[in-house]
Amino acid sequence: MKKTMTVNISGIVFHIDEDAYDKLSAYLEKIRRHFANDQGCEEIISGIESRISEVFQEKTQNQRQVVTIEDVEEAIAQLGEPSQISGEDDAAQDSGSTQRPEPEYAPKRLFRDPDNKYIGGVCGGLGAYFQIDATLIRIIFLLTLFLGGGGLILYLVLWIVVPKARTMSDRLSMRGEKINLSNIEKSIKEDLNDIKQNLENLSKKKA
Amino acid sequence: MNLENTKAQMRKGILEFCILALLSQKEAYASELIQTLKDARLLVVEGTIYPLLTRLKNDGLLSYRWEESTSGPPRKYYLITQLGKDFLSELTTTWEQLTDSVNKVTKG
Repeated sequence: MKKTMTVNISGIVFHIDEDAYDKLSAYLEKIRRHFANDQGCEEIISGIESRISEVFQEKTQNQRQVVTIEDVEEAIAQLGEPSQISGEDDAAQDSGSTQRPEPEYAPKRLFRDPDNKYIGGVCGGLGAYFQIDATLIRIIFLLTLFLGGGGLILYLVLWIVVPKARTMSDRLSMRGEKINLSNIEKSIKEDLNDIKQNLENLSKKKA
Repeated sequence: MNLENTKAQMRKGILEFCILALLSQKEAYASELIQTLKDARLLVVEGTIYPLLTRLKNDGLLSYRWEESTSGPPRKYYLITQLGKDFLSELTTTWEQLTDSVNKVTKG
């Protein structure tokens, strides 16, 4: 026995198993994120949804009424994962080999992190540099206050000496990520998604 | 040099060319195009066609109209625009020259 839900895909109603629904919405979300920067993002999604709707209709024509997780998996295989859709690397997918190049890391630089700060962003920047939680560094700095205050001076010096990460490429080299188009794109997408999420949360709160 | 990657790039460019060519014969909706292109083994995954169609439409090479369907979701029929036709004839010329040159070079 399985719990089912009712969904509307491109104006057609389907009964769908709960696990199948989760899989499908994760897939659509993945596509949405992949094409987030595209002008026609919504159009691409609606086209894909309408195709999924057709595929499900073929599958539920006979006795069977419910869309199962196998149906969803087949539909996804038919339509393709986002990377296959963009045709970036059907290569690695087709041959099953791992030709994907290792991510290259650029030399890291110490910056003050304006997105992760309480005072000057020094701890946030140190955290990014050493890849540890900035909160931990903050606690250490606070502790030194009770042990003579050396940390305070160090903090002030760092605040003066270390530049603030102003540009996108500053932020990428702060995290040791290579400054290339795809990383910049990733970073923008992350920002946009954050903004979107915040807006959605806001409108939910209002409603 | 990654052979598969080059193939994928070629296929993508050729797909745009073929979509325009198909739509210049008659208007069609996405699933019809998918079927034809799949039969011709030009399409690896069906999803590829949607970003391409959207891009061609945003570039003004295609337009579309909605049509209700008795058997499923409403269908978006794509039509080629005048700009698309001009573009297609340019592409056709380029393609013919290219295949000609490639044949000469590879077959000696």
